[in-house]
Amino acid sequence: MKPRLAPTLLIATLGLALAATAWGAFCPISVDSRERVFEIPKGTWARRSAGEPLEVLPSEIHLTVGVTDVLVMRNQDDVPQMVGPVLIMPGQSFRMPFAVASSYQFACPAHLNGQLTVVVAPAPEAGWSRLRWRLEAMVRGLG
Amino acid sequence: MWAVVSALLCTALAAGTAQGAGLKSGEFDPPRMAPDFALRGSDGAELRLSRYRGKVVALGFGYTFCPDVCPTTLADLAQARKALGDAGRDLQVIYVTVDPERDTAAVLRQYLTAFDPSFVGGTGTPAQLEEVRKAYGIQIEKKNYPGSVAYQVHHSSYVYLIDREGRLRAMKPFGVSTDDVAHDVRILLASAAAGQSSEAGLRIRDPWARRAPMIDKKGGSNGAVYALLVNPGKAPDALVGAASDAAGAVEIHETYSSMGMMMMRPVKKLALPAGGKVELKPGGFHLMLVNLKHELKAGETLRVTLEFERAGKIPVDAVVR
Repeated sequence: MKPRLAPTLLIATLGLALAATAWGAFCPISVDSRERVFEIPKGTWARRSAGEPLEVLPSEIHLTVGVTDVLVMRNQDDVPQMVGPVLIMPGQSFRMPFAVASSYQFACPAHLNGQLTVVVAPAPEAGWSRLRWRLEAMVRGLG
Repeated sequence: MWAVVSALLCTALAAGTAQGAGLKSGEFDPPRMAPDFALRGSDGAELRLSRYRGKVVALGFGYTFCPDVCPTTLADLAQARKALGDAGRDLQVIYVTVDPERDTAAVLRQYLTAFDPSFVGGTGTPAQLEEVRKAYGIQIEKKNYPGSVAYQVHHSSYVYLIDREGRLRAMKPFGVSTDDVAHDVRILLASAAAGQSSEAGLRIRDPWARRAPMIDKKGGSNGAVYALLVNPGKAPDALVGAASDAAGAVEIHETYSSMGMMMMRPVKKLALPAGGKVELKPGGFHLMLVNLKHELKAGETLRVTLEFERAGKIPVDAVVR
């Protein structure tokens, strides 16, 4: 490598890193879908009736305002299902948007402990918060 | 320079970010018919849900001795009804008691009138009320105060929204703001207005409009209309045009990305397959209101007539957001 090329390469690398950091910290987060979808599979009621201790939904669901803030629950089973606060008919979906960051507790017969918690985190603001959110999302994606 | 590149890239990405076009409350898809019931109404007549076909119904469950949730919910609904102005006349609040021991028709009438004289309560035998609760997934638990015969009834605290055609469309959780309730009722009032489904069975769901963020080259002001077009029939159809008194012309447009920039182009025909649906939405297909004749204001309703190849002309009322 020629002696003059090394500083140029270093500056270019630093510039790219700076631009990537600026993008990660300030660029609005854009996602393909703001929905987090959960399905109650066909046969859930039959398996539960047979005594199987079946959990089809996590007891705690995490959402983020402005990013993934719409909870969708689909009932693919053959019988109506109470999920959280609502009765969802076979083949029907229930779509619930959350606009306020908080922890929401719902009585839920679909869970063995009878409780569904939806934890909604605030929208990652421009700066360190947004950069950290992107890094965490990247780590989750790699995992 | 990098900051400029980053900003430009951000702008391009932000332009393509889809916005939600639905209700603020939880929404059922597909909606089913709301279970009907026959109870004793607080107005002295038999209370049937089907009696209010043609109106949007907010159906809640509670009791007059409720210390906090019920008065808050009813006050919010009364405020939302006022916020709707004249359209509020098409919102009917029905409150079904979970405490028939104490809530007679007369007690309900006196209690509800304090919030809004148009509100109607429903009571009946414990068995009748249990059947209604079961149909709507409402849970209750009667709890006595320690060492007393006095009791309270813990109950589900949400309100169902039922459209003019009697379909169960949405569930409003406790604590949703008055503005959001009014927003959702406005959408339901508009989406289920007469004439928004054709004889061929096409359905135009949740039409809404907004002013376009950009001014066109000639300085005119444009707008856009969005909706969900549903074709439950066995024959394909296609959207071939649209018109509105609010604009010089209405064109079918498609948003696409080229060289990192969001662009629009007119589309002659938008196919609507048999048994399928097409969503007109920001960042995708939409109806462009070219040269608006007046400034669009949030809350106003625009009449837009959609023209389909098979179903013909279908007028819809789009709420401006």
